[in-house]
Amino acid sequence: MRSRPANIDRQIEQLMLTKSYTQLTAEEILLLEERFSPANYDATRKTLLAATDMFARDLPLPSPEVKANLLKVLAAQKEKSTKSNWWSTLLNYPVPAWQPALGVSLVLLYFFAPWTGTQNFSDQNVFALQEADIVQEAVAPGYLAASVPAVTAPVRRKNVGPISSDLTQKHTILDTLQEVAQTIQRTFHAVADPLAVPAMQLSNSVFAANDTAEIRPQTMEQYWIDPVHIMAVQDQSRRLVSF
Amino acid sequence: MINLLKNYKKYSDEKLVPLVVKGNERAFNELYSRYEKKMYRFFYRMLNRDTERANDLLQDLFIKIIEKGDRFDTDRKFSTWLYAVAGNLCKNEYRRVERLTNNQEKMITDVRPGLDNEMDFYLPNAIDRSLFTTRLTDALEELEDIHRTCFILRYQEELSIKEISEVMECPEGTVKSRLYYALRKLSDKLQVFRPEALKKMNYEKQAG
Repeated sequence: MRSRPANIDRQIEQLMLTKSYTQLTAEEILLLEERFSPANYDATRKTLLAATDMFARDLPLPSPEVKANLLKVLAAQKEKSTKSNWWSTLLNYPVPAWQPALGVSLVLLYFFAPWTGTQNFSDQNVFALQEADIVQEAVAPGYLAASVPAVTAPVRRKNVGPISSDLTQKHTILDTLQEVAQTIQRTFHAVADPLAVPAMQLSNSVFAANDTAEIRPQTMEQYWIDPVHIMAVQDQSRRLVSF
Repeated sequence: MINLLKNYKKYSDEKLVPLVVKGNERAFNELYSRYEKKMYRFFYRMLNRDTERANDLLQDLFIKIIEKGDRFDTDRKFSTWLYAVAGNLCKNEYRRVERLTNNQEKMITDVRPGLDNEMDFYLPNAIDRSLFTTRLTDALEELEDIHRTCFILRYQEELSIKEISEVMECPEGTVKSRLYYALRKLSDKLQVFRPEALKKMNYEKQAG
């Protein structure tokens, strides 16, 4: 037979608080078996009653100074909390997710919009040369010896201003034109008859004196520049230049 | 202004704590008024009726609520958490006192009236309730920490067995067992108040 655990549960506790051993019923005595002898039960009961009585009567009060000290700590905490609140408000400001998502989308759209590279070439701003000397070098002797005359009728102009104070923009244009030229050069090598391929060399000094530039369609025809390639170049260039 | 209109008496403990952490004085006053006496008496009893240390620990306890109340898991019952923190403060205090007494090579219990000399209680008729209470208090102080904590939480603080098990982080069965041993131990310490024990003691004395 399994012995009862040596513990006190709510039921025994209640018995002790309310009944002496002689007042217990047979069933209640059975409950106490193996845990308390009659003498132990009464002694424990007496202790329990005395303890609860003592706890009920002995009621000391805390010093009022404790609260006064705590209020000072609380005031300091409030100040600290207010300071940190400013930052936490700023950092934890609840921004709806769609707002930054929209912002990022617009930026990406601006740079990678599918329609920007498929527009008609003639409607686009083209990085080329206007009123500027394009120094041509003949790769095949006798094919191109002279400079190409400057054109005056751009398909579409993007004016930076004759005396633009925005040097960064100017330099960006120049860099881009350089890249256009190099790409055109590569394109020629790829698609054209080697004997008919001119090499374009763009002079930074020339471009520096001119604020607008373009490649005229006639020039393209003249040098067998495939519009598809130009559009590719144009697209690439547009990413680099921001007017 | 809105704060002034709020009736914090209707707020649960768990709702008051975050406000206290933010430094809300009215919320603090409400929470403090709910627990100051209970916690003070708990410390008072746990620290052998040392009123000064009980005040210190009460202050420490509420400082913890103010400064670290954000660590309180609001899914838990605040009072359980509070007693657990208070119990830990007491443990730290016991360790501190132990270190102190070890350093001084002097046990505090040496200067306290002990219960070893049971003949002090030999005359039961002369012992009134207040003396019994005094001896009971001393006996309580001599219990092991875990038994005393259990006993005080149950019969002074009137926490349920389940709450005590949460505070002390032990199974309910262990709490019941600890209560049993605490009561038996106290009862044994106070056995001189039992007529049959006195008779036995008298007999042994005469025989000796």
